Amino acid sequence: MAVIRTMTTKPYQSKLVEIEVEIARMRTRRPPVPYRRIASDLRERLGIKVDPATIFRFVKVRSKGRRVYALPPLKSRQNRSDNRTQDARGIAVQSPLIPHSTERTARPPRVAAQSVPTTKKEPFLKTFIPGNQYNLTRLSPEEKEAFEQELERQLELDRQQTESRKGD
Amino acid sequence: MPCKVIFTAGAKGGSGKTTAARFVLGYVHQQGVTPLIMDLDDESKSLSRFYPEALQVNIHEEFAHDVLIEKATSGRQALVVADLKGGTGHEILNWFLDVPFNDLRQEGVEFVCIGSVTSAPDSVQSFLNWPAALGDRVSYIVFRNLKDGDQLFDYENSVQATEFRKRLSPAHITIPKLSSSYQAELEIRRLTFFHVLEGSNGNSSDGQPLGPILGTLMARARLRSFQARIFEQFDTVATTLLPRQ
Repeated sequence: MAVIRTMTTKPYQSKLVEIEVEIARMRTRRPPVPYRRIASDLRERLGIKVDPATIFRFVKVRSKGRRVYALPPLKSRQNRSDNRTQDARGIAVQSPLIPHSTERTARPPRVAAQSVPTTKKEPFLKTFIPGNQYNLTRLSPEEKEAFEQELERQLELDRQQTESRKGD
Repeated sequence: MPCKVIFTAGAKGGSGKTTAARFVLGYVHQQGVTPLIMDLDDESKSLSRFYPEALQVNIHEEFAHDVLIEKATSGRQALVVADLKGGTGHEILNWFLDVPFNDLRQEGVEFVCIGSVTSAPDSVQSFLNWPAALGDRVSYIVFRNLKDGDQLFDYENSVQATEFRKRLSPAHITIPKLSSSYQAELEIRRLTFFHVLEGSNGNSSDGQPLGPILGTLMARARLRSFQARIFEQFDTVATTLLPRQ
């Protein structure tokens, strides 16, 4: 009991929870992407170092008794995806404004447990997810420079559109 | 009479919101402006500790924050400085979303949001909730508070903060790290820089003893130079801070 009382940290949660949609997508392909290839893909693209067996166990415990282990239908998880959207193939990708960072964020972006109100209109900050849980994306100097240039370009486009609307 | 409402924003406690408000108050006082000071932080009442004349608001009452608008539209105040509660900014942010900014602008009421960010990542996260919700309806002054370290990585190098700076063009004020012994003395004795620097004969401007640490000539010289570095920066954003003539 004394041990339980001293357990003040949050319960352990797999780092794969954040990319569950992506893993599910790869496993629901026919033929499914092997766990070994998923592991190497995650390492290369997202910098997440994970053993293939870990991904297998991750899928297994969520398979709800399926004989061939598979994650539950995607619909139930899509609204849990973070600041990623889905491309034409339905594969989770980050918002186009957010560059793929080589440096991992302290904690990956996620939907905050305690929501913060925003207006119903288009958000003022397109890359920011309101909430009190840290979900910022850190950039290297090169990535920051590229992002600023992209942002400048978009702001210029916005300005031009506003001016043309005024002209009409 | 046009009125400017300066309010501190940010859900995280201890990021330096009240410190920022104190420097703003010191600056506007020096410019000969007497603002209405409102303390809407019912837990720590931190601004009231330094400014006993501050109007304390019981924010637990429904629509308690409406008093901010009432004062701003009363025609008697040119400047209102409000220190909002840290820790849980959601209720206040919800309240702000009801504020008719356009109508108030026509009445001459403008809002300036003061944020304070430190090297703590959460200070940036919590502050960005405000511009994300309020957008360009208010002006922004961000205090880069270096009390916990010189590197504000999440403010300088995150995607979201970069977007904020590009889209909403905030003004910036840097608060260097103050000697911890001076900081502690100011807190314990509930003194502002103004109280110390305007005092004489070992007493503050309101008659309190300054004590052995703050009472020395060198301590006052250092505080004066520290304050001057901040006020020089305020000069560049004076049009945002001071009421319209």
